[in-house]
Amino acid sequence: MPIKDTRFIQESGKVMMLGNEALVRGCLEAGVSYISQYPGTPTSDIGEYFHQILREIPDIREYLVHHWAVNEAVATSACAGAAWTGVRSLNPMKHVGLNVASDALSVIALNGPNPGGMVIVVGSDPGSLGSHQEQNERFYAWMFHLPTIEPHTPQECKDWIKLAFDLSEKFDLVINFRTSTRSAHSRGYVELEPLMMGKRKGEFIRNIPKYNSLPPHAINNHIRLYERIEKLRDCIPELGLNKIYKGTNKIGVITSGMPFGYAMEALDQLELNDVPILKLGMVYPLNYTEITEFLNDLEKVVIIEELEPFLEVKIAEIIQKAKMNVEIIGKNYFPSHDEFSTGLVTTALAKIFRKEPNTKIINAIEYFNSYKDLIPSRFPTFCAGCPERATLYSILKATNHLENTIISGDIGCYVMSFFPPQQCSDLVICMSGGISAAIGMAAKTDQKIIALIGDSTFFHTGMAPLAEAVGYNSNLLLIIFENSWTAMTGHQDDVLRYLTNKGFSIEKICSAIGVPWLKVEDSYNPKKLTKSIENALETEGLKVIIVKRECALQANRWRMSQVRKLEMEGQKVQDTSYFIGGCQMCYECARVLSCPAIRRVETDGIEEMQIDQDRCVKCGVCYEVCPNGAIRKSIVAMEGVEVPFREG
Amino acid sequence: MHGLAQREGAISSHTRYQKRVVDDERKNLHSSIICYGDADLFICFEPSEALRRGIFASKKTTFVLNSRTIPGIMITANLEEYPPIEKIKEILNGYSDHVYFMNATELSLEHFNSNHYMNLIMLGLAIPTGRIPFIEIQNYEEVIKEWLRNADENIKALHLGIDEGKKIINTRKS
Repeated sequence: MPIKDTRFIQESGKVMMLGNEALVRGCLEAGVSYISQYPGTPTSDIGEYFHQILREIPDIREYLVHHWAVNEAVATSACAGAAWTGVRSLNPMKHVGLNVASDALSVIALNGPNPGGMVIVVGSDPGSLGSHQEQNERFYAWMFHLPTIEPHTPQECKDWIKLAFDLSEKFDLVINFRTSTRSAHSRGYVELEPLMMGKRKGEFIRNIPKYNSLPPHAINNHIRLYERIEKLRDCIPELGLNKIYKGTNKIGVITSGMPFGYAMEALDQLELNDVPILKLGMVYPLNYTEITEFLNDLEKVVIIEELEPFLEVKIAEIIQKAKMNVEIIGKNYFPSHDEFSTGLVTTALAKIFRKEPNTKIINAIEYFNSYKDLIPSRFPTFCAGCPERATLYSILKATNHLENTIISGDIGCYVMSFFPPQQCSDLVICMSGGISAAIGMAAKTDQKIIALIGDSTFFHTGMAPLAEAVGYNSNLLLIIFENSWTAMTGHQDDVLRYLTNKGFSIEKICSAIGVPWLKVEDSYNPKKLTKSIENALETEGLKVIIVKRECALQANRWRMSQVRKLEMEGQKVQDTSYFIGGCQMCYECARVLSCPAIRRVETDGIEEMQIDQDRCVKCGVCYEVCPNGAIRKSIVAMEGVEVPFREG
Repeated sequence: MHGLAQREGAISSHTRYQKRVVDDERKNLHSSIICYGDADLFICFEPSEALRRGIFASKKTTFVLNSRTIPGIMITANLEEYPPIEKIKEILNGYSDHVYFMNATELSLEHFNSNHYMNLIMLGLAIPTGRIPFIEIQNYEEVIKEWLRNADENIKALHLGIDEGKKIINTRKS
């Protein structure tokens, strides 16, 4: 975390910011006073910047509240609640988070956020760079009538989120601010404007028809929603969000967000500087006059958009209604999957405009293809010392490498379980989809079933399916990874951390729900954990094992800070290390545990495993599992203070 | 660019800049991502990463590489091959002659008793290649002082990289 970062608090100036940082700055200039979110890439860091600000400037806490919500539906309803007291609320989520939030949002959109304003930030992820799927969530905008703004630069992130709050308040509409992994995490210069403090307190004023979308109010609110969206549609040309780059070519381009950048550079590379371009800052709704005027002089229009064709469909609708004779070029030249790049857009535009393909790009692709099969894979995996990796090791041992066993995976770091060499996940659906799928499987198969879930996912939506599993006494084993953090998204606090000080625990919840077979284990004791899994699988009915061990990244950070502190005080600290001698190359540590701090080396024709001392976090699990006793433990400065990992 | 580096994933960051914005908007930089074949400089913290992002390279590209390998669990498990360093060199030389290796992790461990300074040492190696225009060494120092913890150590690491880098690049020239 930066030390002398004044970018969120200085009144003016020009600073370098990430898209998400600029978005937060824009919120502070817009006087936002409530933020609720469940972390998810690429929007998690929005909450972290708010936390940083609240930590560094405690006085602001009276005006600005940030909540890490248990799930997206809770966050969305919480933001609506805040807006209905008359304040401005912000609700960031990742694209799949919108699926969870959609139930709440479908109603909130009807009701409208007034008297306050509400903006949702949806981090899209074309290319599935940090997600388990990619989807074009713009279709929700159409379904729920969420005006949708797509920024391209950090400056637009800041300026347009301010505008989004104004529009939300003025038109009584929830605004969808759609970023992407690229726009959220690209840096650029941002011109700052003065800050505005959010409202300290609001007041809810009773309005039964507005906030109760049930018959007959549901229909009335739907009619009112159409009126509100049409009013906004008329104003679009005055908002300054859409921009035309004039040109005389008879083929024009309509695009938005990050693809705009690729399109601009592609056209320049192809020397097509006479092509008219309409850059849409607002992709829903569209202003019919603005679109038809742009299309008027064109024979063809190229729609450049990632994922499923949304703009293509909406523009076709306008062309059809206006009885225009303009050919649409879109998904017949551009893929509906994965993210775009300048290279991809250049190649497609060369074909469309019948230009010679760009040799620099062709050569780059051809030479790369000539050697790409030699590139070793580097997929994400569990960190050195990860307690989840150690648990998977125990699962593999307890089930004789998953013999007659199904692993129903879930979302969290353990989503990586399916990667080789452990390959310890047979399926993944969505947050808490693992235990839910396991209930259905248990009803229809006699195979052994192990469902996985992390603590944060357990609180997100995992308790409800656990209650159902208790109700049906489903024959499955649920393993709950209690690592005390929402680790995958960058260690946000989860509900557990707020509540452990209040005597709260996952085992108490499990007992209260009525789990008939419950054990608490430690994954750094793999022999005991393996035994426990074996026992569970021999028992009929529902079993739960809670594996308690803090995320190794956080645990190691804490331990190293303790070591530094003690050393500063002049104390001697025990230094434990593990090394390998007399390795039999049985691959237990490399294929079953597969710790990334272990490497295979060859010296003088003799192969052996070696531990990278600078990457090992000294969890000792490899030492526990080596069947040949070849992994040795050495303690230097035995007389010094021992600093173990913290418990619980 | 996203890649879960903390979870051993592959990650790359693109940096693009132009000296000043021109009036003809179509001639400015608009994409935060480099076009295929258009990178001037690759700074690779691990050798095989140069190949992984090779689609962005061309004959104009200069490569600086940390020679410390991070083989990945599939290599350790002997289920995949890590290409020999000589092969990586050969492929990169297919782009250009400007390919410079340095064991920055070893230098970091040797001088700072930690692998944390490898990145600044690598940046140091990149500077004497002359492929980072408009930025003076004092600019780097200012940014390090403003943004990084242990600024003095990081500045030392930067200069260590520059000095060692000059040696490597000059040996090649002579």
